[in-house]
Amino acid sequence: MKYWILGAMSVLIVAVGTTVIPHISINSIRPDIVGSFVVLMSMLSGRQDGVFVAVITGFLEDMVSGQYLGLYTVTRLIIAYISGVTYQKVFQDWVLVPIILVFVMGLAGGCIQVFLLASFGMPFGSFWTVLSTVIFQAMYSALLSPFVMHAIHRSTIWIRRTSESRKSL
Amino acid sequence: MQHESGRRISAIILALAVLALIAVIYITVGERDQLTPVEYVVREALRPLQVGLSSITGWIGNIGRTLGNLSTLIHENHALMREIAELRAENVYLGEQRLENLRLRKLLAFQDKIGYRTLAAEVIARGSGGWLNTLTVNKGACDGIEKDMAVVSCEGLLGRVVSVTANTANVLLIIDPRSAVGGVVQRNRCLALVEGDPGSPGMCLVKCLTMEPDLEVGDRVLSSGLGGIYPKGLIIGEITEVIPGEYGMGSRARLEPGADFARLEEILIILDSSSLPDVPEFRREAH
Repeated sequence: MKYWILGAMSVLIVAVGTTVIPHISINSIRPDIVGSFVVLMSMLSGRQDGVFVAVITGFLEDMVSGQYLGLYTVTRLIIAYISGVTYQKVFQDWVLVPIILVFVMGLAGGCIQVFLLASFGMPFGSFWTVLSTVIFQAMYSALLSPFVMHAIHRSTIWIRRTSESRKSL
Repeated sequence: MQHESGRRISAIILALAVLALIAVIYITVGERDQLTPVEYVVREALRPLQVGLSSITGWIGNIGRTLGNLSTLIHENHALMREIAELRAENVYLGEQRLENLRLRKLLAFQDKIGYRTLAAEVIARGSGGWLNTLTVNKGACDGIEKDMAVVSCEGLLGRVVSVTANTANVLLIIDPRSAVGGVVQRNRCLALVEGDPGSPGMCLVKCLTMEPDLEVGDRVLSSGLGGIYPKGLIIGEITEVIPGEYGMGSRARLEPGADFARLEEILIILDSSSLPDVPEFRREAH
């Protein structure tokens, strides 16, 4: 049940990331809401759940993009695995925690993507342009992370309650 | 110890997965002729959700843009309303100018026909209260206007100048009970006196001056020229009702003036009626 709900949430977040989020881009830079979701899911529910949503969302993003298949899955998988370190080790209710974590993981994810793409011959502009884009995207994602965190928090509570009620039946 | 080995296994699995995925990326770097069935199915499956979300986003975006533009739209709306009001006023003004132009053209044509030296003047005021049938025009002594000059319009006789200031003149209309005009019935040349009718505002009373009065409804009455104020041959009006006198003979009649006094805006003041005793052209028109 839990994984079905996580799967559905992953599908929804990818759909939102590919349709709604482009509308709030600033200078063509949009927040990586899927990356934020994966990072925060790892932080709140643990590495296992984080890797699960990372695989689902990464796979869907790869399928939707149609190029460099596996790029998103690799990136999401790595950041989900790293973010899982924070599970039950940080004070989650402090608002700066998700912001800092999403920013750092956003930087890491952006760098991984740029590295992989550059490795496979994707042309990029100057180093500083790429770096500023990665930093700006990470900042933008970090600023939105409290909202994503709130949504995940509400969903996990709902999942827990639903699971408990099914067990009691 | 077991926990540590489990973590190591998962790290190894992750590393293998990453390597495998990098291999997949490497394979799919180039442009492909067609999508894999999995890609095809996933994209088609996501399509309804993406379409729905796009529609909602577009709708919300439109509302946001509308709200964002609201103050601009309000300003624009106010500016347009103001412009519409100005254009309407201009339109009314131009319409007025056109009508005035038509009236003046008519008056000019009449001025040519009448044969007297006349001066056109504009009505600037009317007698207040409805009891005094007078007009004030914008020409006065400075323009050569004198007391007892006849005042006409294209439709007929209007009255006479009763008082003059430097730049205005007051005209007593023929419908005022204080006014009396020497007239002649066009049909039978019967002499009559045309006075303002105190009983019927806006109408005149025709009193026949001959021993055998013969007035009929529809008779046209012209100025006789007697009395020295009004030139001969100007239309005064048409008899609308004969008031029976003794022995059933009509000695008095009600006359509707030719001019519409309520709508007068421009008039002609005859400056030298004494120089020309008759108005043949105008009389021919009256026939």
